[in-house]
Amino acid sequence: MGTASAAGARAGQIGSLRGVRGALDGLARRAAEPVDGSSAAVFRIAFGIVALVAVIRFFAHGWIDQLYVDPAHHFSYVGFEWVQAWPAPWMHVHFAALGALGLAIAVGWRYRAAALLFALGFTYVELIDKTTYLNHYYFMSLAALLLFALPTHRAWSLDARRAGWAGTVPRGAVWALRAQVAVVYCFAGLAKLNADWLLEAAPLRIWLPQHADAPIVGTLLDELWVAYAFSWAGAAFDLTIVAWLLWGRSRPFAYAALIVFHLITGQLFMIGVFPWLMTAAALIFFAPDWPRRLVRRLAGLLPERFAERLARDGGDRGSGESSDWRTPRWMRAAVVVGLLVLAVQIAMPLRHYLYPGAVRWNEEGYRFSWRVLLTEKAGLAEYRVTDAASRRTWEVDPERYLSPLQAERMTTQPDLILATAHFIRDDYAAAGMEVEVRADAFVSLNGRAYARLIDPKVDLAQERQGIGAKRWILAAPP
Amino acid sequence: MPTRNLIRFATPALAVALCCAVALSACGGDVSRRDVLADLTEQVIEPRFAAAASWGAALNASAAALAAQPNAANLDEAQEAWRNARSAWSRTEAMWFGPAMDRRSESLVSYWLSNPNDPANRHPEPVRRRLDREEPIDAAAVVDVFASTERGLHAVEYLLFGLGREQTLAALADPGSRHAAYLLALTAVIADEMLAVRDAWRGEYGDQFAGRGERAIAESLGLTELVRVSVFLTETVADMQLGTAIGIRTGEPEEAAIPGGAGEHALEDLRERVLGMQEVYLGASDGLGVSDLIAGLSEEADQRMREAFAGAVAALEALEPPLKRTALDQAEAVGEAREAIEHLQRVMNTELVSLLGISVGFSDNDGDS
Repeated sequence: MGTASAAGARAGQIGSLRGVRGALDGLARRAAEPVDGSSAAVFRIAFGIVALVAVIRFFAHGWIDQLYVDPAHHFSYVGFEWVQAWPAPWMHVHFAALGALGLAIAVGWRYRAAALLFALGFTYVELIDKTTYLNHYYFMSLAALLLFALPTHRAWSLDARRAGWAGTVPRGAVWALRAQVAVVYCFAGLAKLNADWLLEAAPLRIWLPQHADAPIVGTLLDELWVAYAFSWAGAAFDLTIVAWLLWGRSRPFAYAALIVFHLITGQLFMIGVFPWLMTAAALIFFAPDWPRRLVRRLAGLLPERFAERLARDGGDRGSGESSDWRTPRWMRAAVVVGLLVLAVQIAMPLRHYLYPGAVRWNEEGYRFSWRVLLTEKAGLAEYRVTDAASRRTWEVDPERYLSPLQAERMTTQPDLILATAHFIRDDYAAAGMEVEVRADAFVSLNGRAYARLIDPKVDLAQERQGIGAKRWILAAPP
Repeated sequence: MPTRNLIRFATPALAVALCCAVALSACGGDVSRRDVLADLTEQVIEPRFAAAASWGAALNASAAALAAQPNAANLDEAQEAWRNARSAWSRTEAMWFGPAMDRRSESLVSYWLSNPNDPANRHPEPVRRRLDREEPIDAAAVVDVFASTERGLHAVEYLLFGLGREQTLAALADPGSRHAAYLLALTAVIADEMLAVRDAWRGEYGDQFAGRGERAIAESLGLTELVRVSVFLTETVADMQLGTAIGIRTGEPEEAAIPGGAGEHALEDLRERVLGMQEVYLGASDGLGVSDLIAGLSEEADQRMREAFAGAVAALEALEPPLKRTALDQAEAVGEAREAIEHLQRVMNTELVSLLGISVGFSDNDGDS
């Protein structure tokens, strides 16, 4: 009986494995189908241009010095303490190279190398200091890595022109790009499903009145009902826009709504290239050949030879194009890797459930989670230092160790508060003094009464950085 | 076809709805940031700088009378005028942006060396050295040549109080007295500077800040200026003045960190600073203040701000002057007063800036979280 049931279970497992393998094969076959590569090319071109613009903004605003060169200390990520900023001129050279790589990606010149170097170079910059974390920079790192993995240079690129490629890409490439964009919107929408956002219209009720002096609609932005309308509409938009974009009949309206959404958020908030990046990226939801059809329609407006060349490619003529992806084994592996990457990206925003407490308060698992424009936090952090030998206590201004931006961002983020305590500890240790460091950190979340963020009795000099739960973070106020 | 019809009817309907909403909200009774800035300009800021200018002129006049006739009555009058000018100017400290900042008025009227660990430049040494030198002293020299530590109300304080009554009158009575020339030059510069700031507020800058005319500054910028100054001022009072005095920086009290000298006005200055911030927050009795904006967003936060101000003022009033002695003898009481100011600082630095959406730093970086 036992043997029979074990054999049955084994047979069931084998059947399940076969089912999974069959599904994978089906998916791999579909993913391998060649489709017009022009929409993937538009994604690549738009990404390259936005990357270039982002780099230009770093130069124009003086952020390279301000964020990376000037600070005496950087807030490193756990495990990436070895990532340090280059000395002054080389950091500028690094950014200039990133700009050049963005351009190379846009025109599709030495595309794979350019995409890989950009992904590594940009991620390196982002890893230098947690202060500079932005969701859209995270997106840029992921998208650059994805571009490296995908053949988006098969159409409308210098590489394609040189190689004489027909301009098709595997359907899976378009899927991968869509999935990357979808993850952003879906998790941005899920993050908005909280009482503050939906029931209190916070933080929009705080942010919108700041634009009350805007022409025409300014007075509207001061109205509470408008904050509620924006909150609910924003959540509904983020949660459903992917579905609307995937459905052919609603796609044009959805994209029009997306443009309006990003125009409004771009006007209201300082979010840099984010609106442009997402507006361009969402074009990937249109049919793979939409750019070529558009070019054909606009042929009369473009130089004749240029329009002809753009419109000509795209058919599956196999004109010297590598077709590695069409082998089932290769494609199955690619699909598995793609699904694993997707699983990791889904797990990352959910990892905060592993920590006790409210993520918007303790920020454990907050980064890399697409929590875009979600909270209004303001804080104040002071440090008390006690000489372990004499027990004498005094206060230390954290701005002695931090840049103004670091000092401002630090006040609301416990891991940065801890890192600052370590800067202070190490500074005194270098002078031969063993000290205890305690923080008086107060934070207001979405306009609530301020509350202590950190246990003032805990000696932070003794606490270690890590990804484990931080017992010295106090509970969020009700 | 149905889609086209939908678009045909929905577009004008949406446009009409938007227009109605804009019109309705424009007619609404909500407090606008512009109204708050206008009321604060007309009812608080400009009157406070006018009061300071008036007391500055009175100080200059009484100094002239004292220099002409150095006697006890005139000295009393000059000292009282100094106290009034000092209080009036301290009251404006929460309004030091725009003209006062652009003109660097502080360096002419009330600069205080922030690092007391510099004995050579610690008050009143620079004033004493200037008196001992032989270069002529006049208003032009005060403006163009003198260091910030050699001029302003703190220097006047030394000239009126620092030597004691008898010696001061004797110094003023000397033929060709440098003491008198110094006093006259300083008070003339102070009066002129206070008047210039008042005139700027009565003129173009006041119009811009209040939103009158075509060159009105953005409401958000105006509000940011107001709140930033108060945020930094609470930090200054809590940490650099009260805190340093009782030893938060070194673990030992630092008497020299307390601004002020023989006039024993430091405690009154602190109180005036907080009262100035409170006026900016509450507005005049029949006008609007920042409070009206906060109450519209969170009545609880407004209540906490009001209570924090009341607590800070009460805590300072509970201290016995002079502050230098109290800081040493009653450090615990001073610590409690500092805690009250710190509470105000926290409410302001977290809740107020958050509700108003103001960045108290000077960051222009993107942010998306």
